[in-house]
Amino acid sequence: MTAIAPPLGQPSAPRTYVIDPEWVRSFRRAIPALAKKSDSQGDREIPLTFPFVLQPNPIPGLRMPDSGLVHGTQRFRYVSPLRIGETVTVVAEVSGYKERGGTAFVTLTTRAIHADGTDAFEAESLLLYPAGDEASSQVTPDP
Amino acid sequence: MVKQRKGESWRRSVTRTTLKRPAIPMKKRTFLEPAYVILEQPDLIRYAAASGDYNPIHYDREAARAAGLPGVVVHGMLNMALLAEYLGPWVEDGYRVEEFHVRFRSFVRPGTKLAIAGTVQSETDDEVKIALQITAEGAPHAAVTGEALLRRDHPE
Repeated sequence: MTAIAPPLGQPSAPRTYVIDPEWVRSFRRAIPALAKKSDSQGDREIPLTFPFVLQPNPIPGLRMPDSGLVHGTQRFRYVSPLRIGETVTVVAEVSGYKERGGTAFVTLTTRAIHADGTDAFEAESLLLYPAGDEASSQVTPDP
Repeated sequence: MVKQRKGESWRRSVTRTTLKRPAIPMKKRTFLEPAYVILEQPDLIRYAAASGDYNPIHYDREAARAAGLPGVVVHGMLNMALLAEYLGPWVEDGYRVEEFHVRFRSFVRPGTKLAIAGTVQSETDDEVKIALQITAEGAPHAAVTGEALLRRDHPE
């Protein structure tokens, strides 16, 4: 099968989120605690992996299969912390693509900016799927 | 800490341990005390709801098998979240995480005892680099490996 190479560098439409306190709280509660910590500490913190739920809008021209998609690696670079109640905007692009042994490797980079235009974080996901399967559907990656 | 809501029947299946930083100064490659967790199906459902990741391979056995898996598997990002929790003692110590990356090497099944462990790779007054891993009981290799870089501005 012939793989459809995704468009490198083509940005998604910006997507804006308000960091809702209840959303953060339910996310935090869904993560089993490993250590006892003070309640105040727990309430201030936005979990390190919370940025992943701020999924971007679809990237024009990016086609990936619904099933058979594997999350290979995940990287976060935290520039300045997200704050409860603030508005952030996320934009994603395909920053890398290669095929090897019938497998497609797509790197998606998502950048989040605060309302004042400064960087909040950058997230990079490596997703793998059988090359050629992307024709079946057009989706944003499943987290 | 998670408070059980009234009427909530889900049993939290987590073995809680208290993590402690080893005494300072640390030498290179200090092994940290592991934490142990068993994630059960309700934990996965709770995470699906909170994260919006409703991929059926995390709750529907048939869908998981159709995808070539032996059964339902834990969300990769929930595994990463456990590693993030493991960094908690440093964050409480005034460090902020600047970079955090993981590699998902094999699927993690619910109901399996997981050991979450870390190794201090390097440490200065204001910077620490920690290698992290999750290993399922009985597995020959880590299912998830990663690394975090933490900094603080004003060392104690």
